[in-house]
Amino acid sequence: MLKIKNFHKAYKSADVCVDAVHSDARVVLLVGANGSGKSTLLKALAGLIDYQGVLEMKGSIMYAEELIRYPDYLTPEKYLNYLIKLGTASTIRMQWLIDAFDLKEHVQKPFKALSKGTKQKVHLVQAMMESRDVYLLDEPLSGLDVYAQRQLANIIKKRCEKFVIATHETNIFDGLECHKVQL
Amino acid sequence: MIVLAKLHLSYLLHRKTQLFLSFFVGFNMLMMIALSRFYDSLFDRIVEKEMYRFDYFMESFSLMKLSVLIVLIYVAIQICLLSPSDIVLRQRVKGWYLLISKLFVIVFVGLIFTLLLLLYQAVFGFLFHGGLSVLYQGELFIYMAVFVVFYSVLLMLLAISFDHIFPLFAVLIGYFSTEILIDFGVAIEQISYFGYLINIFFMNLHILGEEQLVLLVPLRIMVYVIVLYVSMTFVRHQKLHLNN
Repeated sequence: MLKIKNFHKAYKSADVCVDAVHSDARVVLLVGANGSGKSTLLKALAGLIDYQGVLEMKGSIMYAEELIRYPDYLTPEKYLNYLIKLGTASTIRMQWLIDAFDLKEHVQKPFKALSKGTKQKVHLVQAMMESRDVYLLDEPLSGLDVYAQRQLANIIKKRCEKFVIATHETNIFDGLECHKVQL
Repeated sequence: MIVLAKLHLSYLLHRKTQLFLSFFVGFNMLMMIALSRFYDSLFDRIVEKEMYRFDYFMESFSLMKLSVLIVLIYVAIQICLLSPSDIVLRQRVKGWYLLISKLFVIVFVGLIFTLLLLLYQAVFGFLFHGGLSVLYQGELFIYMAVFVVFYSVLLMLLAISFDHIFPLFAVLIGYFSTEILIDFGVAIEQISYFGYLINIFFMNLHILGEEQLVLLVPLRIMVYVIVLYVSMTFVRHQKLHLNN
């Protein structure tokens, strides 16, 4: 599923290097200290940046970067419905994720009234409602409380697609069969 | 396209934009009132009525062009350079579709702003100098629409080519150059080659007569298409090379 060989990405301040990784696990966790290259690797897998070396990942990809800014006056419901019209997502899948994240009471409030954690949940919904083979999640636990983190782990458990997750906290995924890659 | 445009607009209209546009609309209103020279003596304004009216419309037209250009630069920066939604949207729609939707929004905001300024111009012109020519205002709107479209395309190209804020501000310098190099109503034969060249990139409506339109528009479109092709190739290969 995931094959990395002699990956190298040069930045002005530091270089990111990964010698070799090979994993067939459905869930791969990229762990490491700040600046170790977790996000860089995900961006490279998503095809967003140039790099040297070999990166292989089969299937269509959905990449969810770290929490982004949302339109202040739009509601998550409207926002997600716009994205449904643009992409491959379905309303059923969106509803399932909204229920799974307990977002029902928040989706009709404007983004500016939502907490960071709730925005993060919406961010995960917008990515995971798309129909793809692989989901690349960059720090998906950021801003989520322990309960919401468990919700995310449960959702990943119930899905059959593959996940590559960059994170600092791995304990929450202990119940999943996953391959930890230390960077 | 409409859905994408709505999304861009909802990202654009955050608090800072609302404040900026409100301030700018208010500022233009005050400037238009000042340009009407209502403070001059009533006697002068009656005796030199035509001159006052001509000056008012020409000066307010210059103000309008500059204001619209500044608004276009602001919107282009917000939509093309500071947009947080690019990765989310780029994974769902094709790159060129996203770019066209952004261009559509820049032109849309530019035209709405133009309409507002034309309304101010007409209202204050009517109040302080009497008379209102719908035909004249309509003609001005068509001129301004051409202006808005050309500068929107130029700003968009600069944004995607350089991915930096400075080239967008450089457009203002280019625009001022054409203002200085080409006087209002000047015959085309009197324009220097340099002025002509500058005007290809930084359009100024002063010389958009019928003859010049025939000559300049195709040339400008050609230049823009070449720049667009180079920029799109650059974007496709270097920046948004997504897997799906």
